[in-house]
Amino acid sequence: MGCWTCAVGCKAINDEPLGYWWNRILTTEPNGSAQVATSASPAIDVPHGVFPNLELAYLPVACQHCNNAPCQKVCPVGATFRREDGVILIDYERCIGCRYCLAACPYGVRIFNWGPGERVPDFIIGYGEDYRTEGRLVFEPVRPMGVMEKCTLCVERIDVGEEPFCVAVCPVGARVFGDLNDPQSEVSTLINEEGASQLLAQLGTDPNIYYLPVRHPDKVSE
Amino acid sequence: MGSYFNQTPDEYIRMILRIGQKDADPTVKGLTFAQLTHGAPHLNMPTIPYVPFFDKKFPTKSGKIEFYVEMLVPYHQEICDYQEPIEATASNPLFKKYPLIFLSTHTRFRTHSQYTHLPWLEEINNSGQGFLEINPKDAHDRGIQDGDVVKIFNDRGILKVRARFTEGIKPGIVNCYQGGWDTVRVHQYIEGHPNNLTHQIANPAQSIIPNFRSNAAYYDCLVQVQREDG
Ligand code: SF4
Ligand code: SF4
Repeated sequence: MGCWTCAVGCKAINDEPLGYWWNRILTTEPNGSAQVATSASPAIDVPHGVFPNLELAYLPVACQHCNNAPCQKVCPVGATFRREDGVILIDYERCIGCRYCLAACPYGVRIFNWGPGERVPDFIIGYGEDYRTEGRLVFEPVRPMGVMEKCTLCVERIDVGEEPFCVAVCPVGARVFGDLNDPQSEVSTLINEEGASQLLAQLGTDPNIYYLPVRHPDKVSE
Repeated sequence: MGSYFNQTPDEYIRMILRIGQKDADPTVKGLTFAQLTHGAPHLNMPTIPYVPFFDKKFPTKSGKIEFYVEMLVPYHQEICDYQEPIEATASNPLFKKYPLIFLSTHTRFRTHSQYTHLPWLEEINNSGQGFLEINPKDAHDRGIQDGDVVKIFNDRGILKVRARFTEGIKPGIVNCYQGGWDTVRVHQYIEGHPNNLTHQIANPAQSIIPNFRSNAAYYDCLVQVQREDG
């Protein structure tokens, strides 16, 4: 419903600086091919069509955790890596700030720390601690200058059996998290039954994020 | 955080609820901090959830829900019925001069004027800047392009913001979200304010209804829109 709760929740738990959004909600056509904008959202809530035949849908976009991730392929130092469970992460101790991945990602979800970043409030909020997985530093409360950042699928939470924060805070249950390898899981069932699609599937990135079709697009008419 | 909050969460809870003190919050009166933090004490709360009019007592003359309200007969509003707006109607001679109906609807990114300048929400909501939703047809008739600064005006006042084209609004109607600020530090409109345009004529019938505050009809507002240069 385009409320941005997931985006604001993400910003809070990861303490993203002003101007940074790991997760954004684009305004699109229902089931249309999504255009991926780069800024927070210049004009949200503008429907498609001509009055009174209008259509509108919201498309939340964060890292798609691609199986065939261009960002990972172009990284010259192996800082961007794929965990066995499919989560794409950035190792802050390895990232050299070359920004190849920024150019390679077709979804525009990576953000580079050009400067220290201005945070409001000006004290640390959210996870507040460094996080390592496979020995690699994948989260710092304040990311250093010169590294790339993006959605981590809340590894801090999923590693202890919780859902990513965006899933937990969505007031209408629009987001579902689970194991795609398990054909019985809720995510697999929904994808099979409703026919989900991947964003920009034609690029062959094979994302692990699936979008369910808009089931009952309401049409406004006079 | 320590520089902002120098006591522990428990200390703040004690302080806010004044636990164990004479003037303790009614919900915890007579309870100690130890009781509240260990075990399951019974707070001084109603035992049933609050449901409006659960007791079926209505503050009306008859004590019932009234579809026909005797006391509103003098105002000819005793039953729900359509009434011509005072201003925003095509039969108003003013409509020739001000042919657009001006709405100042609510955005989901604030509550009236609260939260309007929270930096995160400003980032989502057009950098905190008010804008005029206008149908492209109305805009083209006036030589307005998407993003142009426009002046919205009537005999009461003016408002200047940038135009945002949207088919989501019917031709003949324009909208600028209410609740933005125009203060010494925060300027969310280029000039003026949506409420410079609205009238404040209260419905006299409302003033005699108990527990009801009289209010103006903010959507009952005619304006004209023109392109501003620069
Ligand atoms: S969405 Fe972008 S950042 Fe995420 S895995 Fe795919 S290419 Fe990499
Ligand atoms: S996914 Fe949920 S929280 Fe995010 S915008 Fe949609 S409804 Fe809101």
